[in-house]
Amino acid sequence: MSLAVATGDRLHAVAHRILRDTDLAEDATQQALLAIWRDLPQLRDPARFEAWSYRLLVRACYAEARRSRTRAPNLRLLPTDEPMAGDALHSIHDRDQLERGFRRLSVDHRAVVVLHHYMDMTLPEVADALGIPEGTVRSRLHYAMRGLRAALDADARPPVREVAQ
Amino acid sequence: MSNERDTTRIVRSWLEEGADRIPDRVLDVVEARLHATPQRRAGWLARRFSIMNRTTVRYGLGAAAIIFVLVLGSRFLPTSNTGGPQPTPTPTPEPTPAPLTGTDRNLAAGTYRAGDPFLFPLEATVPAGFRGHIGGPYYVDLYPDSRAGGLFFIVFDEVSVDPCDASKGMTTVPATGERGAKTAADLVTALSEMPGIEVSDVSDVTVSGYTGTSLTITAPDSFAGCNLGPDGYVLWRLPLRANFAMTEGQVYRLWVLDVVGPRLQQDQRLVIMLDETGSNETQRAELRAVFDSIRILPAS
Repeated sequence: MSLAVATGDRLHAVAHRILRDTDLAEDATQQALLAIWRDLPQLRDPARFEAWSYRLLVRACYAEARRSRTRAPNLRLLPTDEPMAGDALHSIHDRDQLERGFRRLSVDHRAVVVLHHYMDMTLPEVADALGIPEGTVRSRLHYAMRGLRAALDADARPPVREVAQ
Repeated sequence: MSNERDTTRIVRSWLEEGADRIPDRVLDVVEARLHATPQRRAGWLARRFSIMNRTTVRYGLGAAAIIFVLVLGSRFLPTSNTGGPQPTPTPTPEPTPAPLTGTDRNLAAGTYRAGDPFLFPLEATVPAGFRGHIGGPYYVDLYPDSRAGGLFFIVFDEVSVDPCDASKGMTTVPATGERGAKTAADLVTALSEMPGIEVSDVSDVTVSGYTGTSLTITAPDSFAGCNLGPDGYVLWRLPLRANFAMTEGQVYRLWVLDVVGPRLQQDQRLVIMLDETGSNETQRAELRAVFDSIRILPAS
């Protein structure tokens, strides 16, 4: 049972980081687990279970993100009462800028960032999990990180007063 | 300006924040829905069987199944009282069901779908001469135009403390399932313990892939001496405060099912109530046929 929970935890953690929303992540994890069950007989190589499960999870995340666009214009922010993870996260501004920058990315790009930088998967492993060429993974990662860097750099600019919509 | 290394470090640190435990309620929902989720046939297996060693195939599938059990835990194995995976609705080549609406109206013969706002999407096929509507999140009815009985789909948590004494009010059915889940068994117990109501023909059932209990409840032959409220001999109350009452000696057949709602937090019971009061043999056969056609659809 501990392994069961650990694997479910792993899928949920990835979904949560891709979608940046608790409800959406729970729904995506649920859908992914059901898809795993439904399609399990079609899995030819049991050794590929982990990569295959990520592919189903990312599909579910994509579906949830698409549904969320019809439900609400904005995703909810993650809870902010958790302790900061080390000194690398310089400020609340960094966090907000990252949050905004990340949300501007597509789910495809987010998935690459999360699998590589959170799950520590190599680029070939990410390519295998997502079923896309390694070059595409490299390209998406580059684009995504450039966007996030730009978001962080925006923090260094003089503050611009926001205009109420 | 952030350099590449700084950005990577900050992003990695930022990604460490967030949920890292799957909530139990997600596992509960998955567990409940597995019963209604048929597994897809392994097409590759048939194609490759001739070139693969039988043992290899068996090992591969077995290993995959074991992995999934490890992933989800033994909680998802079929329980002994169900006798294996639950039967699931068989797809039919019928045309797209017509939507049941919020307006009580005559229905042409055919299949109807009760969707939003009712909590549990379902379909049923009615013959000519039926009426029906969605009364809200907690109520759907299908009944003959003659009003001789009907089928009712209802969701409720409150039952009368004593139907014969309205002054005692209502009580909420305890939720004794895992982590406070509302179970069909809780409701069956509450109905069985309700004073004055005779409960019979209790049995385990599966309706459209969902397990539960069926039972017959019979009201007393006389309400003489009862302290009834304006709604009469009330058994239960829907969340929007609609009371359900019985007449003297009336009989309802109930199917109380464990059904998971469209949202994770809405673990609920669905009650299907068959009322054959005043119906003749033909009408009873029609009602039974409507019941047999019920398909409870996965919530989306």
